[in-house]
Amino acid sequence: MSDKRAEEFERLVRTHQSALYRIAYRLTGNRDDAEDLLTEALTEAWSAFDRFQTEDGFVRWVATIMTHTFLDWKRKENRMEWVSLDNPNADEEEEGEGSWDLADDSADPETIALRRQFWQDAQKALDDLPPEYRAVVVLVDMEGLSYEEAAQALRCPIGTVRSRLHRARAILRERLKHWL
Amino acid sequence: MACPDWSEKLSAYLDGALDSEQSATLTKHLETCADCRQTLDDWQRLREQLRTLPVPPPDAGMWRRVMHRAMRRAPVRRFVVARHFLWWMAAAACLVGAALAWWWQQQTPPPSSSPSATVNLLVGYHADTMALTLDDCPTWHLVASNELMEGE
Repeated sequence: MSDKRAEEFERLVRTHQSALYRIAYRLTGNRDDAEDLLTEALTEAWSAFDRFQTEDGFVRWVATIMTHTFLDWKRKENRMEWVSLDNPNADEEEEGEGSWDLADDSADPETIALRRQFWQDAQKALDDLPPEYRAVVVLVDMEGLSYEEAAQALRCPIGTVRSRLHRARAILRERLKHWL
Repeated sequence: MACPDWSEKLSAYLDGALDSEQSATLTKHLETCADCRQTLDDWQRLREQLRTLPVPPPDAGMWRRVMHRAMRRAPVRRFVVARHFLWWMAAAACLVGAALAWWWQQQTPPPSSSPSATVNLLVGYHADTMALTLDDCPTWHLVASNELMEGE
């Protein structure tokens, strides 16, 4: 591909890097796998970039590739090392950069502690979901994709998206009912 | 607990994914069903709270690595690829080795008693006194010198 297309690709990634990383992290649950997922998805996106036309859909296009890749990984191999159930933030803590340290400093300590506890419980509940359920929650509930877009990303009918989302919500509600 | 008949529709209702008729029917049901109202309310709050889940920032070099690999199309999971590749290569090497051994066995004539067809190695303790002679080329004969033989 031409240098111009390469520059265009790099510009798009740079513009949307926060959203891309956020989706990768939410799907995988840790930074190392998020990096691998991004790399694989962007490798595929770059190789198919000559067929990509509209800038508006870049994030959703890459999110779709990431979702395919993530589910393929989960199906083919049990390679993804999920965050410990006892300590969902273990890998970040090892690197001295805890995700739960992102609480709003302006809140009082009790609120901060409660918020962190909720995040830990919610992350754990999310991690425990089957990958297909987790993916649909990430795409629809957390990233705001429509059922149609989620169905495309998950390679399944809209009815399946709807039923998976319903079951995932029921599981999460049961797991997190003490927070609701 | 939402009414079983309505539970899945309730989830779609939350996303605005019901058609207008189903939506109107469910709205009417919600007016009289506290359990379904509670479920809907819980799912709504759950969705809002999930969106607040923090994402720790990537480390400083991540994007440089990602883009470098992605645009050069280097495989991400080199280890996995290499491991599979090595297994295939080992299997292929075994097959080729077996085929070559069979072929060699087919090509090699049976042992002959003729001196010209054999390689005779007489190894003495004093290698410097040994003579290497060519006889009936291309077969090599390594013959110990008479002196060596006599000396021993």
